[in-house]
Amino acid sequence: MQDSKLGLDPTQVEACHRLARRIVAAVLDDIEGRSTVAIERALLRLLGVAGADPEGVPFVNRIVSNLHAEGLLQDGACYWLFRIALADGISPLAAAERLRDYPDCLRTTAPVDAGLIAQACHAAFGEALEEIIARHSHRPALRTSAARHPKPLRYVLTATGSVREDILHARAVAAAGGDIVAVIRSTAQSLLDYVPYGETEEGYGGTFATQENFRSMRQAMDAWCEENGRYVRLSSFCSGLCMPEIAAMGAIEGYDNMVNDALYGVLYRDINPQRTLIDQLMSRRINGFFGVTINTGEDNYLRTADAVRAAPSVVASQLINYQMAKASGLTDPLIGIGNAFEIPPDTVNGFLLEWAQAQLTRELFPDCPTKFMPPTKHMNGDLMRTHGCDTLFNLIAVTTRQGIQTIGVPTEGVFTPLIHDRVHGLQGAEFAAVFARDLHDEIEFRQGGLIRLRAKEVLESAQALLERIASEGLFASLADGVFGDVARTRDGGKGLDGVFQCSSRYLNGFHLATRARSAERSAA
Amino acid sequence: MTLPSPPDTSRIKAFGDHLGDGIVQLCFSLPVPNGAAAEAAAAALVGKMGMERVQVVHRQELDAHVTFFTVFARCRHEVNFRQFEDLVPERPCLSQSEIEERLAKLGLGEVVLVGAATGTDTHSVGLDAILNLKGYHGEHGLEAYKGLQVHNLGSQVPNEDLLERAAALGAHAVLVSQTVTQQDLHKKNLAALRAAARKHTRLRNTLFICGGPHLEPELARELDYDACFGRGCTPAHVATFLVEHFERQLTQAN
Ligand code: B12
Repeated sequence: MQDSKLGLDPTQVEACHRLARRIVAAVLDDIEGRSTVAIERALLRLLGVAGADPEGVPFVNRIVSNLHAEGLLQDGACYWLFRIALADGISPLAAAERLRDYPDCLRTTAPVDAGLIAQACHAAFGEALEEIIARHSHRPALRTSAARHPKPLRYVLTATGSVREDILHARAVAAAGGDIVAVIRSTAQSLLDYVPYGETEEGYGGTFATQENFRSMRQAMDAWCEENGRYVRLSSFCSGLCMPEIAAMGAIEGYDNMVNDALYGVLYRDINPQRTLIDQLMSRRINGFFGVTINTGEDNYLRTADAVRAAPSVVASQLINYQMAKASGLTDPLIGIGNAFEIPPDTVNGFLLEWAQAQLTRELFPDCPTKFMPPTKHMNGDLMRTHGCDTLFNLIAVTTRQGIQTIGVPTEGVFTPLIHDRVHGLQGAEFAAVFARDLHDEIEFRQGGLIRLRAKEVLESAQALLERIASEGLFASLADGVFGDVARTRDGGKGLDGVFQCSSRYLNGFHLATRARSAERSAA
Repeated sequence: MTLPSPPDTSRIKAFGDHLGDGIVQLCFSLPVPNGAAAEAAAAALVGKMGMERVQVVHRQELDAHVTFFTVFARCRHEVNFRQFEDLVPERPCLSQSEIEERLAKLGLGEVVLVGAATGTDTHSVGLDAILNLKGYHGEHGLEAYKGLQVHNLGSQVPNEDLLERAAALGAHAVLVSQTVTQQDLHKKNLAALRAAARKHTRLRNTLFICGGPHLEPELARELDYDACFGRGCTPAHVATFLVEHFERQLTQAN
C-alpha cells in the first residue's frame, strides 16, 4: 500500500478487512455442518457420474432424489455409494447405477465398517480429481502464455441461445483479440434445481450451461488456439441453484474462469441465502482446487441502486466476498473482485467518481484480477452515446490496470450483442490500451482533490457499513436491503428445501481428498 | 438568410446532407469471406432494398467466413407523413393532480392495479419505476396517486399467480412487464398470460397493459393487450391512459 495513488490509510484498509473476516467467520459458523442437494450432485459429477434419462432428468438428480425418498440424504451420496460399492464388491460407477435404478438397495445393503467406506471414498476421489487435473495439465502454461501485458484481459459474452452459433460468435471474438469468452446462461437456468442435459440450440438471452455445451465450446476454442497460436479462456456462471455442479462441470471441461457469486442469486433470482451460501463455499472450493479464476458480481448492485450513493455498499460487499473466497481456499490471483462503471452519464464529474472507485478497487485488492464492467443500465438505443461511454470506461480500465475488462458493446441497451457489436467493442478497448498505454505510470492524484476525497469518503462509509453488518450479521443485513436496494430474508426464496443437516456418517469425498492433498503439500 | 422551406410532408424521404437526398447508413454482417466478392454482394443486397448510389465505406473480416460492412446509400422510397400523424397522434400527458381530480370524478372508488414482471423475467427496475412511490426521473410512481391502489408483485412471477392475485383483488388493470425479448420469449409469455386470463371470469373487464423497452405496440395489439408502454414512458403516461380509458368507458355506458 506504500504507493497508494489515493493516499489510503493502510490501517483503515486493514480494519475493513478485519471486519469482513469477522462477518465471514459468523456466516461460516452458521452454515457449518450442512450440505445441499446440489453439493451431493456435484460430488457425483466429480466422480464421473454423467448422463440423463430419456425424460432429461440427469442421473445425479435421480440418485439424490432416491436418497431423499429413502430418508437417507443426511448421510450424503458418498457414504451410500461407497457402502454399496464395498458391500457388493462393485466399482463406484456401478454402485451409482445401482443407486439410480434400484433404490431398494439402500435398504438391503449389508453394513460396512465406516472407516473402510471413508477410505474407499477418499481413494476414489483422489483418483478422480487427479484424472481431471491430468487431463488439463497443459492449461496453466497456456494461461500464462496468454497473459496480456499490460492488463486487463478482455472478457466478452456470447448469448445467442444456440451453442453452435455461440461458437461462430466466439471465433469472431477471438479473432478480434478477446481473451475470455463467457457462455452466458439462458434466462431461466439459475432457477432450475438441475443442470439440463445435452447440446442445446435454444435459449433466451443466453445459452444453457450444459456439460455438452461446455465441451463443444471448449473444443472449438481449443481448435481456434491450435490454428492461431493464442489461447482463449472460457468462462461461465456458477450462480443459481446449481453453483457447485457448474463448478464441477467447468473443472471437468477445462474452463478457466467462472462468475461465482451467491449474492447475485439471492438479490436477483430470489434464491434462498442459506442454500446458496452453502453452495458457494463448495463451488469456490472446487474452482480454487482446479485453479479456476472466479469473478464476483458487485457490478449488479449498481443496476438496481443509485451508483453514486451505493458505492460504499459495493466496497463492503467486495471485502466480504474476498474473505469468503479466501475461506474457500482461493488465492488472490484467482479472486476476480467485481466493480462497474454505472454512474449516470449526465453526472457532473461522473468520470472522476468512476476513476476513484476503480482505483479504490485496485488498491484494496492489489493482487486480485479485479473485473471491471462497462456501463449498461443507462445505455439505450443511442448506439453512438453508448460507444462514447464505453471509450471513457476503456480508458479507466486500462489506466487503473484492472485484471479483467468486460467489453462494452454499442448495442448494450438493446439486445444481446450481434456478432459485429463485440468486435466494435474490442476495437475500442484496443484503442485505449494502445493509445493510453503508460498513462497509469504518469498519474498521481492531487492531495485534497476530488478523486482522493471521493475514495476516502467511499471507504469510510464502507467501513461504517461493515461495522453494522458485523454487529447484526450478514443475514439480517440482507433482510434490511443493504445491497442493491433489494431485501431478502434468511428463510425466504427458492431452494431452502434442498439444504440438510449432515449426519455423523456424512462423507464429502472432495474434502477428504483435497484436505489430504493440501496437508501433503504443506508437509513437503 | 432563410432556412430551406419545409418539405411537403406528404412525400418525405430520409436525408443527411441535403433535404430529400435519401441518404441512409446501414451496418450488417454477411456469412462470407472478406474480399471484393463480399463487397459486391453487400452492395447488391442493399440495392435490393430500394437503394441507389450504394457505397460500401467499410468492410472487415470478423472470422474466415464472416464479413462486416458499413454502407451508405440513397433510399429511393418516400412516405406520407400525414397519414401517420392521424394514425398515431401524440397523446398529451396529464399532470398528477389533474389525473387525481379526474379519477375522483369517475366515481369508481379506488382503481386497483396489479403489476408484475412475469415468467422467468427478473427485470424489475422498469415496472418499479412506473408503480413504486420512488418513481422515475423525479416523478412519483403510481403508488403515490390518490385514487389508485397499486399492488406490485415483483419479478419472476408465474402468470397464473399474477392472474389469481388480480382476480382476488378485483383488479381494474393488470400491468405486466417484459424485458427479455431474445428469441421472442416475451411474445410467448405475453400470449400465454392473455390466454390464461380468459379462463378467469372475474378478469373479463380487466384491462391488460404491457410494458418494456423492446415491446412493439403492434405486437401488443395482436396479442390483445389494451395498451403497451415502452422505453422512456413515465407513470403519468400510464395514469393518463387509464383515466382517459375509464372516462371513455363511462361516456359509452351512458
Ligand atoms: C438492470 C439489468 C439487469 C438486472 C435486473 C435487476 C432487476 N431487478 O431489475 C440483472 C443484472 C439481474 C439482469 C439480468 C439479466 N439480463 Co438484464 N439488463 C439490465 C439493464 C442493464 C437495464 C434494464 C433497466 O433496468 N433499465 C431501466 C428501466 C427504468 O428501463 P426499462 O426497463 O426500459 O423500463 C421503462 C420502460 O420500458 C417502461 N416499462 C418497463 N416495464 C414496464 C411495465 C409496464 C406495465 C409499463 C406500463 C411500463 C414498463 O417503463 C420504464 C420507465 O420508462 C439492461 C440493459 C439496458 N440498458 O436496457 C439489461 C438487459 C435488459 N438484460 C438483458 C439480459 C439478456 C439479461 C439476462 C437474461 C442475462 C442472462 N442470460 O442471465 C438476465 C435476466 C435473467 C432473467 N431471468 O430475466 C438484455 C436483454 C436483451 C433482450 N432484448 O432480450 C439487456 C438489454 C442487456 C443486453 N444488451 O444484453 N439484467
